[in-house]
Amino acid sequence: MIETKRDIQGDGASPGVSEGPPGPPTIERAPRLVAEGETYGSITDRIGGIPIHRPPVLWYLGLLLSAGLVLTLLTTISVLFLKGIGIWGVEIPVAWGAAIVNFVWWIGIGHAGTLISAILYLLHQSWRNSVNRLAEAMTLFAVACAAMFPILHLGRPWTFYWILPYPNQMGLWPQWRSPLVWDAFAVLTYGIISLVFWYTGLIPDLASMRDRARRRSTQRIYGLLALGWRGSALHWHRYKSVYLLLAGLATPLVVSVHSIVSLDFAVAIVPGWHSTFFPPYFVDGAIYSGFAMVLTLIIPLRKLYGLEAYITRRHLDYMAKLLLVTGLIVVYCYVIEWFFAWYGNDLYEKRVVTDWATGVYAPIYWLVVGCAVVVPQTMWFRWVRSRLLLVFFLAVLANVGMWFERFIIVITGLHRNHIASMWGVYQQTLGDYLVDFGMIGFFVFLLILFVRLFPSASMFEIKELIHRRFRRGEASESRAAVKPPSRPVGVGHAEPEHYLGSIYGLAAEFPTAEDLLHAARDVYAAGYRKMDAYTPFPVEGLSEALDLRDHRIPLIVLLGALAGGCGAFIMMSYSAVFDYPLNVGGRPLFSWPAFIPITFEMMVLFGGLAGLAGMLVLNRLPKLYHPIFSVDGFERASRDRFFLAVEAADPAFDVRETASFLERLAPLRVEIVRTWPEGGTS
Amino acid sequence: MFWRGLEEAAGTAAFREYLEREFPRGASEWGSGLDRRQFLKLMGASMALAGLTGCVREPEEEILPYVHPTAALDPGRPLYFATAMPFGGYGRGVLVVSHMGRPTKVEGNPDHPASLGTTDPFMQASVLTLYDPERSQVIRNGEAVVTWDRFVSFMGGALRSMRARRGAGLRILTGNITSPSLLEQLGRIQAAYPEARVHAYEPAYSEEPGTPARYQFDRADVILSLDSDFVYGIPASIPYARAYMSRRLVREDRAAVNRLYVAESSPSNTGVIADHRFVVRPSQMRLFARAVANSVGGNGGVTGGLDARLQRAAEIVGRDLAAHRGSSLVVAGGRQVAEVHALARSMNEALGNVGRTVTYPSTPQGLTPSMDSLRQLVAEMAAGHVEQLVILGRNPVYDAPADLEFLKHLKRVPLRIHMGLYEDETSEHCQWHIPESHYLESWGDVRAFDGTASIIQPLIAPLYDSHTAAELCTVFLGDPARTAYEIVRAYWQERLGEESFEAAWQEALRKGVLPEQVSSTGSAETAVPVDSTAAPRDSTTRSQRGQAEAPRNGTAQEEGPGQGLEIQFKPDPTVWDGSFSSNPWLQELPKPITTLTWTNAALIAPATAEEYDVQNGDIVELAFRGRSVEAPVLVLPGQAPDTVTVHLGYGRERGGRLAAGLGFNAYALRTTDALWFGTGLQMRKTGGHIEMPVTQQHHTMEGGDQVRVGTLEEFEENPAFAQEVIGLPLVNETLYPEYSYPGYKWGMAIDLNTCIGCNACVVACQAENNIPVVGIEGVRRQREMHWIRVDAYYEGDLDEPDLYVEPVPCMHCEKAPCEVVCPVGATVHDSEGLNLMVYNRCIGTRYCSNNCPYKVRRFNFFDYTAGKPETYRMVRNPEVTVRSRGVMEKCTYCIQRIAAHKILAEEEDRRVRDGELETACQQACPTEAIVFGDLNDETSRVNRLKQSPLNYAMLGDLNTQPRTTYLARVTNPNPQLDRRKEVGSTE
Repeated sequence: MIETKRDIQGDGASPGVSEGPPGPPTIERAPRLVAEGETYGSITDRIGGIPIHRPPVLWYLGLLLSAGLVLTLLTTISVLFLKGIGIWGVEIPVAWGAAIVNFVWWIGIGHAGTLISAILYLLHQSWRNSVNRLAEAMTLFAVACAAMFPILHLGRPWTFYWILPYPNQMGLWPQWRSPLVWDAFAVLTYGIISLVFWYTGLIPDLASMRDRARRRSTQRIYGLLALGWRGSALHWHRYKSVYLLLAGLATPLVVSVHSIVSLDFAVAIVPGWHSTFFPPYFVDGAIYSGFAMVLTLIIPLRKLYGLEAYITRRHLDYMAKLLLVTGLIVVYCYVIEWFFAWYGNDLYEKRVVTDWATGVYAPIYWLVVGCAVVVPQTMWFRWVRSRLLLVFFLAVLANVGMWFERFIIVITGLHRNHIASMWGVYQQTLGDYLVDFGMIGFFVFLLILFVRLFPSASMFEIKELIHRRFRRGEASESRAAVKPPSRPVGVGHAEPEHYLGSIYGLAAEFPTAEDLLHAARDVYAAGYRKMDAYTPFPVEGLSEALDLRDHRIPLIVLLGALAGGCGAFIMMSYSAVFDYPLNVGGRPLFSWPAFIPITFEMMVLFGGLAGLAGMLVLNRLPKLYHPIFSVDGFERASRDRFFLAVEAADPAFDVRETASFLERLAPLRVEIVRTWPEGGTS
Repeated sequence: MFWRGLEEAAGTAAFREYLEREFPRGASEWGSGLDRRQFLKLMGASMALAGLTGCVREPEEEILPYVHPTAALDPGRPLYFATAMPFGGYGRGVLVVSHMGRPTKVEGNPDHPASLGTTDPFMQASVLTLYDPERSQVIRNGEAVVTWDRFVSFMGGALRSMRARRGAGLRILTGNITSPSLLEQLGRIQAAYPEARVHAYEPAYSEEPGTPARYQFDRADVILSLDSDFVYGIPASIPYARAYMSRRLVREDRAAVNRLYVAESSPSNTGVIADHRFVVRPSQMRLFARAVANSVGGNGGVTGGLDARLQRAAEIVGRDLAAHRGSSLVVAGGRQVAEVHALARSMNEALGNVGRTVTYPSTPQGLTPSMDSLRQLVAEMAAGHVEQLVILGRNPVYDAPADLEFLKHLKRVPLRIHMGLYEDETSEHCQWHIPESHYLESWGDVRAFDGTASIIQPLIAPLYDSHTAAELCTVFLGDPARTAYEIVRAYWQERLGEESFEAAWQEALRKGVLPEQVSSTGSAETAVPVDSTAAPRDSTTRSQRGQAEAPRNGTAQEEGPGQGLEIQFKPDPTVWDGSFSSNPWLQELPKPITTLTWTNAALIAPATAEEYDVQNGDIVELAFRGRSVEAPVLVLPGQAPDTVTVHLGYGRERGGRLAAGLGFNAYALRTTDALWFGTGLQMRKTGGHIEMPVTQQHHTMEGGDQVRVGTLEEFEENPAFAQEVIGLPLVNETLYPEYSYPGYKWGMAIDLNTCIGCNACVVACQAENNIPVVGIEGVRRQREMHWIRVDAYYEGDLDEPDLYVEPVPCMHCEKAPCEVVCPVGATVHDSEGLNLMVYNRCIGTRYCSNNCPYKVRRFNFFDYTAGKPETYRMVRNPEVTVRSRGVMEKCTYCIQRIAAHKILAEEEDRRVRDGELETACQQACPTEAIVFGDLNDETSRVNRLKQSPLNYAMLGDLNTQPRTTYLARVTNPNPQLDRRKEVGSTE
């Protein structure tokens, strides 16, 4: 924190930057993670407004451009499927080319999302809250792009599913010792868990969108996607629990996925690939390029959509620093590669590193060194970090450098293989270039659709930031809440009980989380037990105050993970040892070390899925209708209002008594909640 | 049925079928640009192909399978038929595999002296020419397609007047002919038309036809080759290579090996196997020969101008030869000038080798083709004396020396008749073209280099409307109804005797060779005078000429350096003189050492490349004697500096769509006074550049030790020198379990001592395993599909390197790295230790190829078999799957052969015997360098080889435990010349 304050000194002086507090320069004060003056409502209005309002012209331009590239990609893929991968530059000895380079690159980019979402979450880096949504979306799309390449690159792409175990007439199994099978499981798991993570994080915001939607159709779509989320305290409790567990699961997953990708290379005996330090090297490279991509996307986006209040200079400064740190690890890896070649004194390795420096690909190698080693060092300087255009440019360079780094890794080991007579040179063809750029188009296309359709920053998590600020006493929460019209809502003029349906309970509306928290404590102290609170974000201490706790989620996740892991290990052992024993490369039938990656992946996958399923089932979601929805103005429960409901099922419940009790807690109003509202469904 | 242009053919069934089919085959391939000629060709083609649609036609005459007569065709079991392939006029005995009447594969005939059961690339690939859809298919008169009868009736008229004039103006131009029956036919034509003349020439036959010397390489301890590539391309190359290699077998610690010195200007296969290879410019070869002769003790002559190093080398070689009187041998290359031949002979005589290691037969056999004969013909054509010219199987418009201007003079001949396998450059300028039958579809006979006669029996009825040369002769003899079968049978009936003829004939057909007593050259064969009345001047006719005569041919060589570069012409190692231009297997076959495919190049030394500032693929203009061509440069270490070697056989304009447009035509530079060598070549960089289609781009081992070589001395000191490499894991030093192979355990050993790098194994494998051809672009993009390749390496000095070759098939590693990384288990081990490839399961990740340190796996980047001519399907081996696009493939150790022999053995309730089962590469290898067998059989040949101390595993340090291992090469250098020693002494 202290560092940050120093770093941002003189921020206001930077040209072309309009945001940030225009305070006097003598005051050393970091830009906030959320700008001053933002309220719960303004967050929802601003972020939630993007999908609802007409997009800027640039958006259409981007859509058109990226759609053009997508068409190119589709055409190229059609030709590829019709004619064969011969349209690419791959050959013998370099049988893996741009497709694998792209695969590794995209997967790498996909790492920052989960890293920001999960690891920084676990580390309580609250600044992640503003950028995680976009990073997760980026992850998802990058993984989608990445996952296409291994399929496209197959000689017979239509047989891609043979890599997975599925019941078939021939009784065939995949060959579990192959890193490609591990890879398939890892990427699949990563894709699914990223989707789960992303979607889980999106549910409350989708509810918020549902409540803000102006058209019935949009409302319905968001409503369906939100699964009937109503911000219940108990739901939030379970939600936080599963989110934490998902983050815990996703953290080793991030590390494992790129480690497994690196094993595609490290397991092979190809010189330049066969190296024990590939897993950390790849993971770090992935994070490096992922951060670079997040920066590349966020800097223009925040400008375009005016998100400067939520994605502030401080966020960007943190990320630039992270880029520098990961970049330094990359440098270390490069040095180590040379050191290994020299110290190991292996003829083949030495030939490869010499080839980097002096061979046909030397220009590319030095470009990589320039982009990924030299240029990022400028981020040591605050002056550079504070110039967003420069940071953007550096991030782009880093990504270009990382693409070519993967090119060097994939190609050079193969083209300088063990036997000099089979040395060859790989060159990309038109087919390769069309797919390279087409896939970038596809990624941008998905991203452009995403910012149009979904809230591109996590609204409820940003609200949490503000809430936390209030709790630290930095401001009064009431300032954040728009003053309500002082319309006292009594129950005195409540309808007769027999009017329509039965009474579900009583709901009291509060303007701030603090008010709600106080009220909740009072209600609990008064002996009420069947009650719930509805809030736009998880309010710390609320479920404790209401004694709404559920500890089953971790158990469910544990059971799911155990089932996945054990099941996978047993399946592999059974198929390799008993069902279809084959002499594969003279390896033992029970090659248990080779079974570990998939065991791990399946553990994470089933744990994660069980967590999501458990959370939904325990929360009785999806449930598109709930009596609480009938409360007048309840749509603000996903925006900036806080509701407390005491249910009729509570033995201590009595409409009049309870209502008057609630009135004493100084709510904005109190309302009877009926199981069937007047005038049909909402 | 109103097709006016098609003569009586319109009424035939074939024509009806043509109409019914609506579109002839291949019609769509040409699109809209179909001109009238092509249309007619297509029409003709479709009619000719009509016969193919049902099933394969067997010849009507009785043909007999090799040795074991089979009463009936046993469906599914292939039969072998013995026949002989004429190449450069000489026969090479072959056994041809026939699958249900469809010849698919050529093997060597063990009973034939020119084959000894093995083959060279030409024999292997010849079966594909049979099915070449580009072969000429119809008799053509101008642009009209006509019938044989029409031709016969036309000739009847033309010959009536000719007969009256006793044949004056009738000329027949052929290549080398050794066929006894055809020679008899020609003799009868000569008798019927006394004024007619037969001319013969061979554009590329570099060994002197007629009475070549016969060598006994197995008896020679020290051999000097003066530019003789005696292991490749010449009629006796296979037996010579075999005999030579019988003295290079290094077994256990016993090594009584010979020593070979080779002096040559461009690396050849013989240069590869040499113990010492001297780089001698063509102009210096005679000086070098003289210097050796001087040293041997004879009177060689002045050697002024010879490089001091070569002078010293020559002296040492001469001393070595002299030290082995009676067991040494000097061999002069066929392209060499007469003086070199004379010197070689005088040296052999002086060394007492004649009768021991070399004999000089006195009686010539067959025609004695020569360029003089061709020159004589051209002179007569120019003078207007030639009225009817019949060209039998030759293509002089393309391959005659450029200074003869054959085409210009050809046009003055009123009637020109061409017979050939293809409609080529010559047929284009002849009124008549008669398709010639391929040897696999025709009856005939042929003699081997040593005079052994064989009957050529067809395995299939002619695919097209083709005829043999003998049948064409019958037209001139007024007996056009006589078939080739009748001619051959009648000829041999006379020689084999009437009473026991049938049995003898059947025996001859079955064995593929005629008995020796009747084989000897008959009188009728020498009766044909080949018209080369002028004194023999060119270098192809030089037999038995003394030294006195010699310098006459040498003027070109005397000019010496300083007048530009020297040019050297060589027949192409794969397409030869252009006869195989349309054969995709040979086009894609990497040329020995250079690994160039699909094209030829100007081969130059690295020093010359530096001097002219050119690199591989740079286009240069070669100007020689007023003519010039543009050629790409290929830098070849070991090439003599200031010398450009060009291969003949490329730059075709016609002769098939495949052939035309590849490479440059070296014949366009060739003149009668510089048939093989010449000085005064000008080379100029044009600035153009193409990518050379080579299959190997790096020819140094870059510190690797995949080829291990030691001298005899080193071997005697430490027989296991090849196994003592630092970093090699100990035997069975592995964490993995031992798998046991209780039944068979197949393995292979490749002896680098005997491999000559001829590539016969590559074509044999291609033919056996239905390996597709990828084309010039495919090779450029490194996608060639050969399952076995022959790597070539240079080591040492760039100008005078040691050359090594190494065949590399799949190693069938015990701990195969490819298998472990396959995600679907498409490549696994079987119970006999074979590394299998399951095509149907392969999804094409290509990971196995990446992880194969030997890079022997091949990938179908496209559907290489689709879109290929229909007829090529007939050559496919039905025992081997045709691979689809997107799957990996590789050497299987010929698993189909293993299966067949296991079934056979099981039927007879025994194990497969050693030697009974051969892989295709092993079977083809002329020097038996590849040995395959059961490692569980203690006494198998492969086991014995693997027990040799020379046995080593390539890249053994990776511990893949390959089943295919190599025997290190042991060279036998002269201690006085050992370069390594020289280097040591200077230190």
